[in-house]
Amino acid sequence: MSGPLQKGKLPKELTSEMESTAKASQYLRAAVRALRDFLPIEKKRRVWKTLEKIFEAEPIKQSDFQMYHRGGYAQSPQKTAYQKEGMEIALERNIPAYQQSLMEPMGQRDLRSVTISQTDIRVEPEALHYLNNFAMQQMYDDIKRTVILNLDIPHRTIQVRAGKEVTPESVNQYLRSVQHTIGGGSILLEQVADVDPVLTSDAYCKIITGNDEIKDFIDPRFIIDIDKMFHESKVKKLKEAIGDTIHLVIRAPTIAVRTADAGAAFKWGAMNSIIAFIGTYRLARDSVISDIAFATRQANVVLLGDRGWPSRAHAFNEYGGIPFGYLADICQGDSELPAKPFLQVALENEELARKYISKTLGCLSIVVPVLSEIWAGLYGSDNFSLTPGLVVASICADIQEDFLDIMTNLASKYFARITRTNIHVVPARWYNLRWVIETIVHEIMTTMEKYPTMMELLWSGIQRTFLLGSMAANMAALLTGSTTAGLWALRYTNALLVKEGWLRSAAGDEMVDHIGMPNSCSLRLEEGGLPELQGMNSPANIFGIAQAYGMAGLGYCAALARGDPWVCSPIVKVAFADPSLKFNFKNPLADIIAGAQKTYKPAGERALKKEA
Amino acid sequence: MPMKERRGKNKSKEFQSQFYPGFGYVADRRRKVVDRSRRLVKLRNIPDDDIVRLLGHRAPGGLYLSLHPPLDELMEAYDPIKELVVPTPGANSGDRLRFVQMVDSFWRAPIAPWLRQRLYFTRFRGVDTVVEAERTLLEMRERDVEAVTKLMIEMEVFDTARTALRSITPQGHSTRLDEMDLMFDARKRYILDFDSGHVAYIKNMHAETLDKPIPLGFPVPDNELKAIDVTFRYDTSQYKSKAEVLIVLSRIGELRILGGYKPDLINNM
Repeated sequence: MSGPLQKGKLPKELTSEMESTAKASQYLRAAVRALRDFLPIEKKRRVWKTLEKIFEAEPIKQSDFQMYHRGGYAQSPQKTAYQKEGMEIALERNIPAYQQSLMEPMGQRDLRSVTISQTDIRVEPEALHYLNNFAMQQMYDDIKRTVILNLDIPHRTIQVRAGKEVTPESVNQYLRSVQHTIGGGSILLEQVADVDPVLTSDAYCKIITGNDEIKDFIDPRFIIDIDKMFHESKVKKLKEAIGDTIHLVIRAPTIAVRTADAGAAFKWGAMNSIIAFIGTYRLARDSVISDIAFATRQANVVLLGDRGWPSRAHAFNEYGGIPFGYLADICQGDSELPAKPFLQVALENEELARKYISKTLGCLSIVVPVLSEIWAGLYGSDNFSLTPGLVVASICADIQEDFLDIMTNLASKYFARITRTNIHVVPARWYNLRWVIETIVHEIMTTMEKYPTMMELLWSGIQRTFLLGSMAANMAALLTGSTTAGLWALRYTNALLVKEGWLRSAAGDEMVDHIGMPNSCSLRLEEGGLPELQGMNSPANIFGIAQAYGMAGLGYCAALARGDPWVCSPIVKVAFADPSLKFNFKNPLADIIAGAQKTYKPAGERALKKEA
Repeated sequence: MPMKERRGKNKSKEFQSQFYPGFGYVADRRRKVVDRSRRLVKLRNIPDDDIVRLLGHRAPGGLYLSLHPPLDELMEAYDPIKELVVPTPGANSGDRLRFVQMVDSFWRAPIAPWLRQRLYFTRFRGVDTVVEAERTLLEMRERDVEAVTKLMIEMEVFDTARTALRSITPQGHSTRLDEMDLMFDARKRYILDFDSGHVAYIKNMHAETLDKPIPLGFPVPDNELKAIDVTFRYDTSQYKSKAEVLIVLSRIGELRILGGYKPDLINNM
């Protein structure tokens, strides 16, 4: 090789602009000096402490001196164990299995376990893969197996068409019957085979009602008690919204969902609840049955997810059809906090405001990334290798926690005072939001530039888009109470702001945002519709897994800003406040950690009962 | 005003492309890279055969495989567009389509993926490109791709330490640098030759081991890379102080949102 480039010198033609400008180099020196001054402050950030612990080096160091000298995959105990297991499997079945030593050795960079945010628990990324972590599977199963039926119409049909009397006793008898049938027990014919109740021990039904009189006469074991599960300021609003009606929340057995698909939950729940009606009210097999069947399973049903596209996610209740607003309602972290406009809380107490954020976004940032990864991994592209990426970005190494600190600080420092003028939200105008969107995005980008270790952890553009876009969207929605404003922020950040700053974005995944910006105010269905009602199956959203958290978060934050106890549906909010659910939607992190540590016991296992 | 005087006043100016808004050396660099009327500085000389070996699509000196006969020998239906557009040498000879994939480090590479794509659009012809977070794929006819790869490696938009040719396993752009300040490569395609101080490729783009290493020259030192950086960074050129860029971005955002909602709203903006 020859050429004009000499060691350590670029031609003057290139660097002259920089070097001839004394101002520029002075500015550089000033920046370096400033960095030295700010180092003690940086060291106080929670992200510094965690990254230092994870990487066992100064997190702002740009070089890794041990790179290529760490022994490949062997530095990960988990991968080493897999390799050993793979060898054993290969010997046993006589077909090669899991094998790390294909082509060049991979894993020469730092393969480290990561710390779960706000804990000292360290897990390997493998433990956050949805197939290795049973708690993640159970979370999705609990969503898939939930079907909500309204019982008013079938009760009315029984009174009018069958001429039977509906009394408090009969309703309780029905609820006892349905607990039997929902687990696979027979009620009408003794010849049919029953399902082993141990296998379906997670199947049950509960009642939701907004009427205290109805609540009083129903056996308390069958009720999701709004009074106990929510803060009193939310109870009144929820009861008013639900009203005097009775909803039956059905949890089909996990084993049914896992054997078939989420559509099975609907069929299972509908059929077994009808059979319980037949048994309770002693109905004959005449035309009344078809009316009751229609009234029960068709007339007023709340399914969590609509149908997806036929070739893959064809059933109800699959992630693709679940609106983002429902995903926010599924999260229960904030149930015990008072329903108050967020800026008012931020004015009174910044710590409490931070707690609001932790309880809402902290919960959502587990549910949505896990589901998104299942979506991308199993529905979108099958065994997509990014799998634990989004979960690592959201719950590991205090990265998101640090950004949430910035977010709360901005809201309480610059915007909370607006509530003194009897306005609870900032008017949703572009020029009100521009400054705050840009500020929070610059802060996060700066943090990423400062911490090469953080960039190493967030190795993919999708992870960075996931954090940057969602923070901006959540901030805008939190200030304005408007989901559309949140959508502007999400699109503007991903499609323009980050891309032009670094000239680099998210592996083409910001495509959704380029198209989505002109559509963000549109309610036409082919352009997306209301943000809360959009889902992964909405146009252009299918591969936007990095945007899903922002889309769900902006709905949640807008509700938080307005002081609303739910985002999209009070019924879904109450249905998931159920303490009998297998997965803990109030504190999902605890279950995810248990899943990572292999101490979590999921439902739907085939080998639960030992044969006597 | 009489027509005679008006004629002189209405003289329309020739359109001048505006490549990028803003002041400062980052915006200048961006403007320079995409403006085809400005010459890029040549930093190194790489023999043609080394480029062919790096790309790994054919053996040096080997024949080009063709998809179709040369255009001169083809009898085609008359099409005025074909008369207007002069075919590239590769298209003229009927070469097959080949690619080059460049990876730019997050840590002060002399160019970044989206700018690279804009460079392809303004400076090259007959391109098909895909941008991802770390890599930019460029597909062209075989002899065209060889020509532009030579150009890109020799010019100022390539740094041997922070820019790389990778087809398989291109990840590593945001990983910390290694002890020699080279961008991490899980396939380890290049090393720093301590004797010469040059970065030498020991594997080609597809991570197949080469018969003999290909030296690509000295890596540009860190402080010099800062001087030709094209990204806004907190310690050199802060993004938040770039008022004009942000005003333009905000305007684009607003126009897109309002225009998508109701086109009439942007009439007077």
